[in-house]
Amino acid sequence: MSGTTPPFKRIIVDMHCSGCDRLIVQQAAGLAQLLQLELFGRFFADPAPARLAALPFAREFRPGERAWAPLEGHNVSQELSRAITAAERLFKQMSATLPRQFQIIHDPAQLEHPPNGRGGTIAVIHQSGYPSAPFDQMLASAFQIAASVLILPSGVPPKSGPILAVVNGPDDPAAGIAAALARAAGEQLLRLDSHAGTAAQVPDARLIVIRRGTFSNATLALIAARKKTPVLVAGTEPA
Amino acid sequence: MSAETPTPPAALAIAPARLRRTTNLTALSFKTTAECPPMDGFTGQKRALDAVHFASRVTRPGFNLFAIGAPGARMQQSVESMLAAARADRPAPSDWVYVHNFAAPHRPTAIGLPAGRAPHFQKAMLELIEDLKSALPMSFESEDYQKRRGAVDEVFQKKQADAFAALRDKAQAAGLVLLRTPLGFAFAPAKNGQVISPDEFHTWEEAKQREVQKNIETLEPELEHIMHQFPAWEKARREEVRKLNRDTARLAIAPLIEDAKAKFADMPQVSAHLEAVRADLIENIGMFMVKPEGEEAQGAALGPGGAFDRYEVNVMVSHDATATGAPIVQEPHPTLGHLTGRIEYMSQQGALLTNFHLIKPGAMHRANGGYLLLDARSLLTEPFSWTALKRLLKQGEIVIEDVNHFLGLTSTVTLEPDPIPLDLKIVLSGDRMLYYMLAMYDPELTEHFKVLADFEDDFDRSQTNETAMAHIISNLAYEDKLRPLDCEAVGLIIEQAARMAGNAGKLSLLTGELRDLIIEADFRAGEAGHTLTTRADVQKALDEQIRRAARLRDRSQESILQEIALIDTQGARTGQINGLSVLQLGGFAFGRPSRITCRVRPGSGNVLDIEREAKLGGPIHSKGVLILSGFLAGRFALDTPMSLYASLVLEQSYGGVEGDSASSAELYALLSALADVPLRQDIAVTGSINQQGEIQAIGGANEKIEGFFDICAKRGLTGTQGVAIPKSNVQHLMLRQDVVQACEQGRFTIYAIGTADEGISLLTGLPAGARGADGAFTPGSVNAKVEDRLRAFASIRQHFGDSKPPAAASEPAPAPPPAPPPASPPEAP
Repeated sequence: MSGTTPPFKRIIVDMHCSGCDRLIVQQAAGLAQLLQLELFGRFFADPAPARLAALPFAREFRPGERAWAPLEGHNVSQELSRAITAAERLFKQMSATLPRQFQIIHDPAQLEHPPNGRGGTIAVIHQSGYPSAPFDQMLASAFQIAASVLILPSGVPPKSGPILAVVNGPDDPAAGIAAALARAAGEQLLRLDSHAGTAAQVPDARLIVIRRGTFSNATLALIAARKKTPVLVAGTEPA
Repeated sequence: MSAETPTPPAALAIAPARLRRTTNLTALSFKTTAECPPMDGFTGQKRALDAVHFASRVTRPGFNLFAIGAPGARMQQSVESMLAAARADRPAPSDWVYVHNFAAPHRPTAIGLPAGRAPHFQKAMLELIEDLKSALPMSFESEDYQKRRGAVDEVFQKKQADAFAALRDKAQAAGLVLLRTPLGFAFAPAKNGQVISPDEFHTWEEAKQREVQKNIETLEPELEHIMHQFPAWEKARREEVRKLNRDTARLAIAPLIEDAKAKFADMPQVSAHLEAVRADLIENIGMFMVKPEGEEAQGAALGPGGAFDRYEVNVMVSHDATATGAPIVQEPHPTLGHLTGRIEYMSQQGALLTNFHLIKPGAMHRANGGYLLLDARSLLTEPFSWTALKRLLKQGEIVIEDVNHFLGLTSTVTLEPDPIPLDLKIVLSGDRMLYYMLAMYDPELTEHFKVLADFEDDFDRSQTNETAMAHIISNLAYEDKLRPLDCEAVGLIIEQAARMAGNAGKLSLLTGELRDLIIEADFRAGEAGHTLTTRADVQKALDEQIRRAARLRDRSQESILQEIALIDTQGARTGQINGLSVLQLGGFAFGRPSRITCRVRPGSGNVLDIEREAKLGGPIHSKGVLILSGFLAGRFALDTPMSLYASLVLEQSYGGVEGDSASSAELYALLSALADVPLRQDIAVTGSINQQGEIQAIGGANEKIEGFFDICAKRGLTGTQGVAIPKSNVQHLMLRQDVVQACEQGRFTIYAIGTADEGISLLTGLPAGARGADGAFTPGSVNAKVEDRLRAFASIRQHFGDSKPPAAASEPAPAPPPAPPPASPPEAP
């Protein structure tokens, strides 16, 4: 497999989800580095908590403290500012050598309509923290804003190992994407027929590339969780 | 022989043929030992053989064997040879292993298996672990497991998501939304899904505001309840996963465990252990998993001391199942650890840790079911070993004790391995003194070592036994792959065996020394280019052995020849005689003459032993001198008080003197001094004496004779020189050939003396004298002169202080110089 140029232009990583998880940004930046993509960081500065804080009875339940605490306006603003600053700092730190953009979003509608459209975009989702939605829903939301999705496992993923293409036939574009990634990473390319075994029998790898539609959403989640390996689910839409 | 006439010296002389008993070579039916079949070392040891035979077959506890004998008797080799015959009657003993005790890890479990099965068990467990390493991950990667696992995770995630979704729905129905705040969650009033602004909220009627607030207060406990449930749900999920893992593991492990159990179906202990392994595997399945979620990492299981170790088997002892017979084990270094086994430790991150793998077997484990041979001295000189051995024999089981632990030298965690039943015959070997001292000081000795095998030092020198000794010599040469010895060489070695026995009628069984001689003779033969070891080679070896050890002897003789040590070898002197002593240093013994002198004068009847007074005389020597007093008192001047003061001394003796072999010489010196009769200085004397005047046997006769002979020979043999020995020592004579040769040529003479009268007659040339009908000794005899002198002393003592000298107190002619006035008598009257 010679490896054609992958049809990707950018990776979108939402910095407001689960706080600023260094590992998640690092993995997203690593993939962007390999494929020479733009890293697009978004932070949704939700105005709702600030509005709520202005109400007289506003309070929040803090899971870390397992207790209720009053929600005060200036505290909410301060926390939001801190979170934005920290996220931006982390983003810049991780994407220092990459073309990048960091955007603070105030309108939730903007979250569902990124400025450059779905084509050529990879959205990052991950399985850590409190679930904002079931995995199916998370995946579906991600595919609304991007043609491809990078599913990151919780915990530390492998730093080396082969790039595995799980292909559904000889013309599966996942093979070309995986080949390009393997070449860029200097890793071995492995190819596995999706009909040859079960999801559980997928060998250990640094990254698994699968074309969207090869496996069900549940299987994709299972692979990412059990193999502790990032899974790039490549869409077929043109860039 | 009459005491009334002087004893002719020739009558007392021993015929040269009796000075050294040579080997009857014609009876040895071989020319070289190559034709002589080797013989075991049991000749002459029937008593010990019977003891070993008994001890090796009796099965009751306590009938262990203590073999005693002289160093060089090669007891241990002999016992081992005898046991080798007995071992075949006993079955091969059990193998023993230690395995992990899952219930109490500090008490490893001992399992006994039929001979040869322990390695199979060990291998089976290793295979089981290897199989599990591949079978278990496969089971956990199976589609079935993954589906079930995914279902568990999904249920958990769904439960979380559903709880939030239901809460969101309730919130929506109440006109609220559930918000994610920077630090947690909150409810907010909403319109069209968006949080309303504060301005709008304040425009609402107060009742509506209160209703919103009430709705929020209603939902908040539900949010709180959900958040509180999260850890419980996660815990339930983990439990579900664990249960699933256990079920999966149980299914995966079952066929492997059953296979292993089938191989050892005849061993209930092994089956029980495998069941314990099964239970432990199910509980600790995580160690077999690659990157297991929520389980321990694999790293802990790798390397020595890793988690897989607990399933392995530590083979303590294993015996060849195809070989029959009980083991015979020698432990040359019986430290406590080498004897009873030990527990080793390994350092991990600075801490000393141990496990059942680090239990090391001792000699008792290896010999269990058979025989353990130990050197008693080595055993007794090792701390704790003797007491531990007795304790284990009493308990009837091998208990490994960590000496460092019970001495408090280490405070780390240690093990208490299961004891292993003891079925062992101990054979201790040592010298007699050690055994007798141990028996005296340790009453437990005879409780544990009921059988004594006392190895003879020598045996009778019959023609048959000379032949047997030739076979032993042949065996020694054969064992060491030495040149064959010719018949004459064998003859000389047999004569040396008699010399070593200190008795011409005995042959030494101390084959260790004979072996040394044969090896050196072989070396000399090699130097001389001989294909056979000849008599000359043996003689050369003997000469060289003596020469290497004889520096002190040569210096001693040199000092006599240079007249630093004063020894006369001709002429006659009153109150002076040559006694003979033996010095034994480093295994080499040599004789040397010592001048003994005596001075007499009137006194209170005491014979003063200067050696004793100077604390240089041992108790036996002092006893010999005291016997002289008894002899004098019982023989002379019975009707008068003993009024003698005599002093006896070994001149130029600067070390201790022990033994009574000089007592006859001291008597002769005393009689000479009393009778004022000179003694021959060309005859040296040895022999002890009793109160009846009989000369008794002494030790080292050969060395003593040769010691005086060497001095005389170096000064030039006169033909009159010789040595007077007790008659009862004649049987012991195995003199050097040069001494025998000189005697044959009439240049030196050995005299056999039976009584003091014979001795004094030989030394003075006068009759000893016997009492006549009138009760008086033969006039002019030595005894008459002695009695007269003693009566004179009594008279002097009786009339001491009178104005005129006693009329009857005339000294016998020739009169001794008058005694000086007793201005300061040595003893108070």
